[in-house]
Amino acid sequence: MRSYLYCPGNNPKMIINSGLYGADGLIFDLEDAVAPEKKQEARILLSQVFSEQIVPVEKSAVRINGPESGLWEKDLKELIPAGVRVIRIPKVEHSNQVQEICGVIDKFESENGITPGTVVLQCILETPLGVENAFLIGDSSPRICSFSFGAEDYCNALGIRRGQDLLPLDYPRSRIASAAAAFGYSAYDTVWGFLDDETGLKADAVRAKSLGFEGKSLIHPDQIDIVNKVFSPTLEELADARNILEKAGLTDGGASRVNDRMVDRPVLLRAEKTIRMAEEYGVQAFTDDK
Amino acid sequence: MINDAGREIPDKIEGLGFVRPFRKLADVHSEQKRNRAINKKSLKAERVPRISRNLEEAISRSGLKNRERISFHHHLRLGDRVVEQVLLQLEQMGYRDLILCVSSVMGPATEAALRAVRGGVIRRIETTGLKAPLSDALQAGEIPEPVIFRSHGGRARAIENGETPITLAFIAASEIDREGNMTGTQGINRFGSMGYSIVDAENANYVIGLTDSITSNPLLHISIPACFVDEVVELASIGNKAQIQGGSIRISRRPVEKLIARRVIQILAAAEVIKPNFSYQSGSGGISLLVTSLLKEYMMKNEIVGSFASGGVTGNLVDLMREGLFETLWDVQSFDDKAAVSLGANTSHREMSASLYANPENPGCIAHELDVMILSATEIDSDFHVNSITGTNGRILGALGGAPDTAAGAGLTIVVLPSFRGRIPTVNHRVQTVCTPGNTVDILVSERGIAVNPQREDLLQILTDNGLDILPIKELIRKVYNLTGEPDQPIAGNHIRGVVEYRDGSILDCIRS
Repeated sequence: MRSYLYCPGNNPKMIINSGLYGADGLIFDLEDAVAPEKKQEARILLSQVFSEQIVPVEKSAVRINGPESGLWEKDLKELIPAGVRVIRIPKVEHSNQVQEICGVIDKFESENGITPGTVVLQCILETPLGVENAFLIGDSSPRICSFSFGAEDYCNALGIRRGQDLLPLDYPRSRIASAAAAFGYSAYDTVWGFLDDETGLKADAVRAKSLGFEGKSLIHPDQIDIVNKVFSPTLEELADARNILEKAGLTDGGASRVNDRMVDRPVLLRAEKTIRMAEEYGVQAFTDDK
Repeated sequence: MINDAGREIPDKIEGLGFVRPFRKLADVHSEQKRNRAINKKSLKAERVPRISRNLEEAISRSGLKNRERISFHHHLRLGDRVVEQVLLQLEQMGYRDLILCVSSVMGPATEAALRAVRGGVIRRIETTGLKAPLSDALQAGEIPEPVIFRSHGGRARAIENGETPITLAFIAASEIDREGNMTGTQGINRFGSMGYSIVDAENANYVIGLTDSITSNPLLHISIPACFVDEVVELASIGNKAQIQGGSIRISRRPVEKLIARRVIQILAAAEVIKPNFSYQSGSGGISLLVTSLLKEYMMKNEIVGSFASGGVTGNLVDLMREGLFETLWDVQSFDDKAAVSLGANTSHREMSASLYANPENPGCIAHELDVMILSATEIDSDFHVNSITGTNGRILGALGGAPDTAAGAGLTIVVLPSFRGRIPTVNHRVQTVCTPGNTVDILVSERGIAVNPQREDLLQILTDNGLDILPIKELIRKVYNLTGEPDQPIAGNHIRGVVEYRDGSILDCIRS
């Protein structure tokens, strides 16, 4: 997924339109976007939306309330029977938080006749503790399929002001992306909150991609095209991948030289991934400076 | 009898007499080839209009009698304070049973008109649209005769060919010079084009110009020359400046509207209609403005210069002309102050009368030269009939405007609308009121899909070949109803309260209660 669009879980109008804008994935939010007194009606609304398949269920996740909120179990109880299969957990800091949640998911899968392990988890690491524990968290459950970075709380904890300066976020991004890669998980970057700053959004996404992220979480449909473009292969990348696979196919499978570069198995795998992405998403080179 | 829009039309309507039902034309442009009926009054170059401060005396001198027709324009929009002053004067002078012929009624003018109806001063209204509380009074049966809804082109045609002779035209101008020339581009309450009222001035038996600014200098921009003006009355004020000039129009940020606008540009690009010298018109609604904004980007990127843009003009469109993307703007109504100023200052920004704009009997009709028309609507149906007057619940909300004229004239007519508003579907099996017949509409673009009129097989092929996802309109209706449910149909009574006249004078539909 190149783009994951957040949508408040209690706004019917936004929910039914959320799938129209071209985001690869959708996240319906029960956490920060929903006021405490609206949580229950949001759960009921989302359970209807998923059970009646009003949104594209196969590419939709729900962000539940955090491990320390005391609300997440109610979220899961309502959502899992309704058909939600991807759960995004915010503010994960310890592996035991994930394990506790997985225990409850085990129970709801069993009670609802759902094949064990069907429900998968996306963990958001958004505090220094969560970032430092990334590897341990990643090792805590086979249900985990991805990590996401949440920069706002992280910046608050460090007293950093989020903005154009991308350097301060290189460390947490790298740590999260590396830990995700260690387990074969996807890594999704944090949201960009400056709605009118498309240049900043693009720079932020390019930086995340360069550090190993597969895509980015978004807060507005206007951000989708830019982010999809950043995380799609460029024409040059596609041509390079084709060239590598074509010329490597002429060798005996060991390391070979293509133009000025050594090509071995990791390079071949990356070239194959580029081709797959181009086939799935198309190639969207930037034609302007956005 | 059933007309070609599938609507039941009586042979005779009270107050109108026998009616002619709408019939589809094999060639929707054929009517323009008819000879234009010339009904212009003789010009009065030999005398200068009288200037006074007494509206009562001016009306008395006009020779207006009970049951005759008076007219106004609506270029002052919500800021209009002329209609109420005049109708009050007519009431005080004891006039009865007049016919009110207006280009549209909105804002305080609706309340003034309603008072005149209730007081017996007005017995019939002819307009392109009207708003509450007058619209509610219409549906409650308070207006003695059915309201006739005409498009801008239809109104110009009916006035020019003598079908609706105007005895006395009241024409507000933001400035009038001592010779009697009138303009909408100067003076404190400038509002821009006087396009709708030019037809009235040229054809009414008597014309009273109304202004709050008389200048001793000759006007720099003349909308209506003195030879068409019999009398000028100076009022303390013609309106509310802020409401006349409006604020700057802000481009919508609504994701659904942006999505629809982007799809329109994809369609225009795929159909290869954005090409050198192409012509374009859109409304002033949120989606239309977004389309124009995206069109600007596309034209700049591809270095395309169009020939003209027309209709109601916004500052947004003025920017396109200034940046060299359109050679000419043809302006029948200026929607904001930027457009009003531009009209007075730029020779490429031209004022046009409603007749030149949209009269089907005018051989030079600009609407018939359009390549692309972007229309908004209140709803559309499976026959592509467009409703722009009543909502799905049957309540009067909007106006015909120039939609039937431009749809008939443009090479490509695209209707843009969200598939539902406030949980009420806008794409339905059958619209409440047919305002623009489906045979003149080519494409519907909504956020839930694009539907092409089956009679445009050529477009369907081109768009499909270009990878655009097209679905049958009935499938789109099904998708929308899956979300909203199918709306209950309002119960229409037997009393005809309004008549929707097609631009050629035939009857498209009736509004009953």
